[in-house]
Amino acid sequence: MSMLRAAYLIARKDLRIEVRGGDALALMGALALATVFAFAFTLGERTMNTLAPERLIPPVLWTALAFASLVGFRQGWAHEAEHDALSGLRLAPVDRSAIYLGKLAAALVLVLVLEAILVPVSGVIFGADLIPIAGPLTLVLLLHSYGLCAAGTFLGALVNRLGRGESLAAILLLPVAVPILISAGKCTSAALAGRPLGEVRFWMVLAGCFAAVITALAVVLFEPLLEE
Amino acid sequence: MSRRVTEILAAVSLLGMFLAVWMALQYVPTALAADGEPNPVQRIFYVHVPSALTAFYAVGVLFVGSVGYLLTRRRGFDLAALAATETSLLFCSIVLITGPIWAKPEWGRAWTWEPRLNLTAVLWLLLLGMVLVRRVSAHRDEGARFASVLGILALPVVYLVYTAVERWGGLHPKPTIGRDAPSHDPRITLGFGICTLAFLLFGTLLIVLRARLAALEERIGNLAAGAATGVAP
Repeated sequence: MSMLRAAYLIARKDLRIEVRGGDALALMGALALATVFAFAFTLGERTMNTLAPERLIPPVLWTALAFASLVGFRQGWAHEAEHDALSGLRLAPVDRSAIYLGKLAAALVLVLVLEAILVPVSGVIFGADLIPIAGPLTLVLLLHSYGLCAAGTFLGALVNRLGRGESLAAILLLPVAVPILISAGKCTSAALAGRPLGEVRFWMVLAGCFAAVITALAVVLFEPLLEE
Repeated sequence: MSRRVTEILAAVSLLGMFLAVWMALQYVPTALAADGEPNPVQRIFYVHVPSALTAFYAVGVLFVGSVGYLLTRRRGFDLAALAATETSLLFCSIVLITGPIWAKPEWGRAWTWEPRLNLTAVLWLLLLGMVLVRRVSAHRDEGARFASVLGILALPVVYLVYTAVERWGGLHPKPTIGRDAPSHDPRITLGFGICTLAFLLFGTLLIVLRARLAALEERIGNLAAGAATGVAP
């Protein structure tokens, strides 16, 4: 079985679990919306009326996404901890990186579904008209969500095996994902302001490089994470 | 490293640190601010920059230790990585404390959106994460593996963070020694060189001592476990 096929099967299994009664997406959505509302309340009406949406939405959106997606990053690995399912996966005659890539794909789908809800809600709350800029905004969200998921899935695997180290996921994800967060802020802001993405080409390239480097490193370093 | 070498290293770094303090406070001439006024605050530079260099040097040791451990699984590499992580965290903390002390009178504010500041803060957080990962691991070898994985991840991440934050531009002074910059008073170059050397030696000493301490802790742990089960280690 090819590695990509194995990864696809693992992702499909995880998403099937989620569809048939998982609670990851519900938890992620609730946490993300709570974060957005917490921002709206703490910023207050005056700040929200003074600042343009392209300055308000990027930090709020990406803070909410980063913290909410942590739930998704852990959930995929938590499934495998039950009944020691991970041992079964480890024994399967496929490249072990397939497990990482499968979990990454499943996490990415969850995060994209979350964004499909969260982004329009943020647009309404902070007063941005998203329809004319839907194209560039989607591109920006896809690229940066992938980078976030590539780093988060890997750290989720690590943290999930630590047992009592849950909060470490956030402590580690922030420094590792800093390039993605900076770039996401810049690019989302440009997209929301209706500026051409060519203006933020440096950041798009940087986010792409980050995604490629993290994916490659994760594939190489995944083996020692899985040992008993 | 043998006991003898460690003792010599300890003696040399002790003398070196005294020399460094004397040079930073007494020997080097007081720098002049842009308006020509004497600027004694600038002397913190002789602690700040050597600490930063030592922190980066320890990250290098951490990287080598992490790669070595994952490839060979020899305890020695892991002990070196552990010691280097904590030493780097210490010097990173010194950098983060001395920097704002200098910046407050110089820039008028202690912290700005500035590449090097943010890079150091991110590195500090990452190192703290590595220390915590070892702490919360149920088993020593598990913590060693996880910390090594993070140690290898750290280097490219730090590079990308640097690229990202540098694009923001900033106020931080760029390195001038060894570059095509207006030449310095030779006392400044010498003072900076001695300070850097003293800090690097002291950093090395801390790494060696911490690694040795960790090795002893492990040995005691093994002995205690052996005594509990009645099996000689």
